[in-house]
Amino acid sequence: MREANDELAHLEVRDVGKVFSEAVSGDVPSGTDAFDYFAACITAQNGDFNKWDKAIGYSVRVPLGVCAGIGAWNYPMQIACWKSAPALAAGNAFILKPSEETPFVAHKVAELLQAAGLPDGLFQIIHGDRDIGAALCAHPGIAKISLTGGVETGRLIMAQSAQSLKKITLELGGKSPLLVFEDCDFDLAVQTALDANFYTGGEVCSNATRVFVQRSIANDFIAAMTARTEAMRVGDPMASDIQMGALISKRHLAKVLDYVKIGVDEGATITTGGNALKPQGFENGYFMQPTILTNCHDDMRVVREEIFGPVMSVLIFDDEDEAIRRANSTNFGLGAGVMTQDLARAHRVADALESGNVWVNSYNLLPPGLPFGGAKHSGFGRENSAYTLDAYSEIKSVYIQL
Amino acid sequence: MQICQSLIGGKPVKSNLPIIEKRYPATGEVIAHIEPASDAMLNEAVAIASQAQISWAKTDAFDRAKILHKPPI
Repeated sequence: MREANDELAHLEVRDVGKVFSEAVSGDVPSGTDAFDYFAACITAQNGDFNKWDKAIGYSVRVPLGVCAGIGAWNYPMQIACWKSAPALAAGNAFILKPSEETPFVAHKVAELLQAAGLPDGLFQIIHGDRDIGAALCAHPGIAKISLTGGVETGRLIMAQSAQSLKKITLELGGKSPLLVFEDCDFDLAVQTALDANFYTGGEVCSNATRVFVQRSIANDFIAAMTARTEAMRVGDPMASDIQMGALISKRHLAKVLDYVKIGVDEGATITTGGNALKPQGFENGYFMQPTILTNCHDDMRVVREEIFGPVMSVLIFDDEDEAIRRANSTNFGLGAGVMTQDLARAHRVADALESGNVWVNSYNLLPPGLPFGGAKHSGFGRENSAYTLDAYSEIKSVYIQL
Repeated sequence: MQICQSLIGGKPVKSNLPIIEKRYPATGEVIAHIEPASDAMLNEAVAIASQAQISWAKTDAFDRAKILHKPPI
């Protein structure tokens, strides 16, 4: 996979329309990392041992059998690897249903696994839409489903999996907050806010689409973000001077643009962006400007609902308690960010945020050793870290009378 | 036109269900036809997976790991 990194990144671009520079440095190596990490982890896994008077007990992890992954369309390489690597390491067979928007990269992963000596039948690909997804969930021969997708899909998968009592991991959506305090590193905070919104065209479940800025720095902060956003180039995903590629589909682009209109109707101001784009030579692609909405308030639909596009909502706060309360005022809980140079505040706020992941002075960094996943309606179960091996296995205890 | 077929038992398998068009988001051009798997194909994949998993689970963790992070040939 390391040697095929460029080819995998090309396929990821064909799948998603994101820029090559992101795919080649982010998504693809992060997928490969999962194989290194979980291969190492499984060799270090031990069982537990108990001793009583005249008896001993031990418990070991055993694989579940056949596990399935249902993928979203934003990170097809990462999703294929983050689910299959722990499943296979733990001794399961794995069936992947990639999103019907992104069929390509999984086939290269399969080819590389086959070349590495993985026996046939352990990594299989099933194509199709939600009909075959429902059949996977209902299938009595499949022990577990791991889904990356939206909240509504999560509810559906859970319901469809109930009859066969599947184990489930749900990696769902978010409306994550980034809290920018007046004592932050200003330039770092500006860039972090942009990266946390416009990476992969904003099509990232953990993106920090609610940017809370402390009032004393708000005007300067909005001006700096606006200037940098307007310098971003949108267009050919393969061009090296492009920072944002296309959205996934015509329908999704229309949905995101509709959200911008809803925001304006609710009273938000478009500080920059807001429109579809037709870059030269790519007039029929699904492009839009990175967009910043200001004059937002917490009750707006654009502030409450996941848009899954390059649309940032800026919210102003006065003090820390208010920022925490408003940040937590959502059913989602996937990511959260804190920009501050005050060490005590960083820990205090990280502790108070209701979220599966909190980043301090950074955002969306996902090393394989750190558990990743959601609180509240953003899902349950974790990916990455040794905990994920537990999600692809169960404990078997043996009691021995002596 | 690239055809994307389900990979079952290490081989692409043809389906007769109506195809799904895959477009390249940057141009809107149809670049692949996806053949959705039928329920029978899924049943076959699960049967093959169940069979393959038996010996995989018996393979020592260390030997599984050697395959999972071995570089491509």
